[in-house]
This record gives sequence, C-alpha cells and structure tokens, in this order.
Amino acid sequence: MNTKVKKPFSWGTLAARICMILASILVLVPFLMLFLTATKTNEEFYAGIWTLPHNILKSLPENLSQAWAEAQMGIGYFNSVIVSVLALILTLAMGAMAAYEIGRRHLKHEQFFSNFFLVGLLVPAMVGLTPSFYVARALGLFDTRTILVIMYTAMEIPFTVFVMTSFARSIPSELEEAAYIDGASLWKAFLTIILPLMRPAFVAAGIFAFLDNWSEYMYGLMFLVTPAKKTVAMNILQFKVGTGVKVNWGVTTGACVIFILPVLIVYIIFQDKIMGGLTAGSVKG
Amino acid sequence: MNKRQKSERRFDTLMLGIPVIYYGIFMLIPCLAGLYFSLTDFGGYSLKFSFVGLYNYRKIFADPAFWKSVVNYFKLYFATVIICFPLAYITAIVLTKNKKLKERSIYRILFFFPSTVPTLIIAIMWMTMYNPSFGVLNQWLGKVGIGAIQWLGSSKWAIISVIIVVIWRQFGFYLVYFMAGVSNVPQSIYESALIDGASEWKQAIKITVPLTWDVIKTSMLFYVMSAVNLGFGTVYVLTQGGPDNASQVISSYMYYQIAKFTDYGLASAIGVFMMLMTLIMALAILKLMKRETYEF
Repeated sequence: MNTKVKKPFSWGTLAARICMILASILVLVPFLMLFLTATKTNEEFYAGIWTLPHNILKSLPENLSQAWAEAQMGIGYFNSVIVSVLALILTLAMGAMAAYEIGRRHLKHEQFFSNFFLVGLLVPAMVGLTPSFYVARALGLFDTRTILVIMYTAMEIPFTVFVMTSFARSIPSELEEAAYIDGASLWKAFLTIILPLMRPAFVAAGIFAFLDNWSEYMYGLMFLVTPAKKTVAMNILQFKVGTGVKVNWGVTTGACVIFILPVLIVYIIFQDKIMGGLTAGSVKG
Repeated sequence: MNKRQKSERRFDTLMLGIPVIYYGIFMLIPCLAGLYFSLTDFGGYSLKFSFVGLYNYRKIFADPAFWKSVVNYFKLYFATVIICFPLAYITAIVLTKNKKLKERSIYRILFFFPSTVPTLIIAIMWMTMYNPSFGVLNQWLGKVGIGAIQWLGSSKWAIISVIIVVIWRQFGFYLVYFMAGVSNVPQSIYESALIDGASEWKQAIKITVPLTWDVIKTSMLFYVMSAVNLGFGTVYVLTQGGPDNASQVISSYMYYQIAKFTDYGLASAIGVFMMLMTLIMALAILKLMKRETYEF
C-alpha cells in the first residue's frame, strides 16, 4: 500500500548518477569510434576524429563490401559457424552429462570429479599447446577444422560443467523420484525430465561457449594454414593492424563491425540470460 | 534388484566416463605432457625430436624478456584486482541498493557489454583511441593541457595501455558478478544495522564485504587464468609485445616463441612455468583469503 512513497531528493543519488553517466560515456566512446570509423573513407579518417563522413551511403557500404571481399569473410563466416556450432553441441552434451552425474547422483567421489573439471578453470589451456600440436600432427589433424572443434570443446567443458552442476543441484528431486516410482529408467528420467528442466543452464553456458568459440583465434593461427579453412576471427587479423603496415581504417573497422554483429544480436536477445547464467552458476557454487 | 544396480552402474559410467575421458585426453593430459615436451627440442614440423634436458629452462630463465613478461603479467593481474575490482564492487553496491537510480538496469546492461565482445575487436577499437595523432585520448589530454602520449609506441606506456584496455573490458563483468553476490545478502541484516544507526559505508564494510567474501575470493581465483588469456588477446593485436618486449605478457611471450622461432619445446617450458605459477597463485589466494564463511 505504501510502496509508492515519493522519495526526497538526495545528493548521493545525484553524485552516483553523474558517475554512472561518465562511466557510460567511457564505455560508449570506443564503440562509437569503431562505428564512426567504419562509415568513413580513409581520407576522412585522417581528416579528423569527429568529422562525419561526407556521403555515408557510399562510404559505409564500400567499406563493408571491401572488407567482406578482401578478407574473404564469406568463407570465414561459414567456417566459424560450422566450428562454433559443432563445438557447442559437443560441449553442451558432455557438460550436461558430467553436471548431472556430479550434481545429482551423489557419487562416492563427487568432490574429486568436481575438482577434476574445476582444474580447467585455473590452468590456462595454452599450457597444453605443444602436446596438442604434436597430437594433431601425429593424427593427421593438422590444418583441419576438426582439430579446432576438438580443442574448443575441451576448452569450454570446465566452465560449462561449473555452471551446469550448480544448476543441476538446484532442481528439486521430487519430479525425478515420481518418475522412478512410475518405473522410468535413469536414461528416461535424464532425457525427459532433467534435460528439459536444465534449459536455462543450456542457454547460459551455451552463450558463453559460443561467444568464446566465435572470438578464438590463437588455436586457429596455430593449427590452420589453408586460407579457405580460416575462421572469421582470423580473417580480421589479415588487416595487419599494429604491425606497421599502413592500415585502411575504414575497411578494417568495417570488418570488425561485420564480425561483432552476431555478438551484438546474441547479446541484445539474451543479455538477461547471459548475466543470469554468470550469477546463478557462480555465486553459491 | 541386482539387475537394476547393474544398469545404474552402466548409466553412471557412461554419463561420467565420456566427458571425463574426453576432457582428460584433450585437456589435462596435454597440460601434463607439456612437462615432457619442455625437455625436448620439438620444432613442430618434424615429429622427430630429441631430449635436451633442462636446456629450455636455462634458456628462458636467462632471457630478460621472459622475466619482463612475467612481471608484466603480475602488473596486469594486480592492477585489475586493485583498480577494477574495488570500482566494480562499489558500483555493484550502488546499483543494487540505490533504488532511486531508476535507470540502473541500463547501466548494468551497458557496462557488461564489452566483456562479451571479442578481445580482438576491443583491441582494434582501442588502437583508434590510442592513435597518437588521430586518437581521442590524446585529443582529450590536449584539451586539459597535457601533451600527446605515445601510448603504444613507448616502452613506459605500452603495458599501461594494455592494462587500461583489460580493465575497461572486465569492469562490467565483475560488476555483474559482484552484484549477484551483493543482492544475495538478506535485506533483514541491513535493517537491523540501520536501526543501530550504521552509515552506508559502515554497512558496506561490516556487512556486505564479509558476507560476499566468497564471491571476491572466487573472482580473484578465476582472474588468475583470465588474465593469461586476456593478456594474450589484447597484446597480440595492440602492441605485439613491443616496443622491445616492453608490453609482453607471459602468454604472448610463449606464443611468439612458436610463431617466430617455431620453438615448441621452449614454449612448453614456458607453459610449465605458467602452470606452476597459476597453481601457486591459486593456492596462495585460497590460503590468504581464508576466512570463516558466514551462513545466511
């Protein structure tokens, strides 16, 4: 009843608001620069930071199409989608299996298996780079997209297990027990009761894994040589930013815009789920 | 009954076995096998290599650039923990508790966004910011009467530039992470403090921080590894470790041993060092930050 009391003005809130607005500007300016630069020709970029493009309808499409063609982003996009999605499916499948076992089956060595996967969150994957490279060569997987799928899956499993386990723990056990009384097997209970209930965990962990896979390029640089197999993140690197080579900033930032478009879309659609997944999985884990 | 137990056993073995074996083969065993490869001269192209003992370790320990990259990693780690975490934490308290800030969910969404954007793009964005003659930063500095800074070109500023970018990117990530912890503290505890007349600062220090200690500890723990990856992603595009290795971090130093010299054995030795370093840091954090946890 008395929830809508008009609150008095407060200096603290004003100060907080000013700080937040300043911080927002700091967050936005680099993005603004990226998008602004992508609309300008190279001459316009060098003409001044805040100058607007003379003919945005001409320079923006030109930058984007030149970026798309020069970096072969069509092939890159195709490769990135294939690699990211396959790795995502494998990660989620194995993550859910491990999470269910660790979180719900009351195993004898539950803590051991939990730590087994947790180690992956403390040791950087780069440590295993040389042996992975050796294995890839020995198995003939060097310069294949398969090795990327394999590596990405391995790298994403720890965090996925981490998020999914705490979610699996939070599912009430009554539903499952009812199914067992009805004579359902463990397989059936897992597939028809637990998996549907774990959907939020799939979404949250899946988005993180997808974003990671989408932006990964170090393993790409290590394992791939054929240009037609490269992912879109590696395409961006073709612009040789920062190596002293003269950069066409309009085209380079245009490529960046094309590259982060899926990220932006995923973020806008799923932002609450991304943040929810981060917090649900971690805080009391 | 026995049949049922048997099928349960089979179920558990399969369900846990597949991920454990996969993860073991492609992640944990390679990390451990790095120990072996660090004692060889494996060069990547030929599968033949020979045993060289501790040669790789002697070589990296004698390289000043290696130690510089280790120091830079620690600079990156501690700068973030000391600057970014408190800022994110204070902001988290403000955005959680100041209900008069009606637009607070907008800030949260906005601040979190950079941490979902690939470091590759973040770094390119910041290259335009840092550009000595066409960058926004130097223009702003010029307006307040400070001369142009060679952000990426000078050995003094290069690593600072890298750290700024990482802090800028991770701020929102830790903000959201801390917010979840802060909002988990039950309101009733604050209410009794309010009756005792405790100020907001006092409430934050006496109630919020102790009750979210685990959240702070966990973020410090996980940032040990994130800093390795973020360091590489940012340095690789922004500075390539230059000028003269001034902004090299351990992960990028390791990468360049492969990319430039195809010295996989040496890179492996750096990897082993990195593994020990991260594990020791993790154990130190767990030990130093050990406190009794409060149940609420």
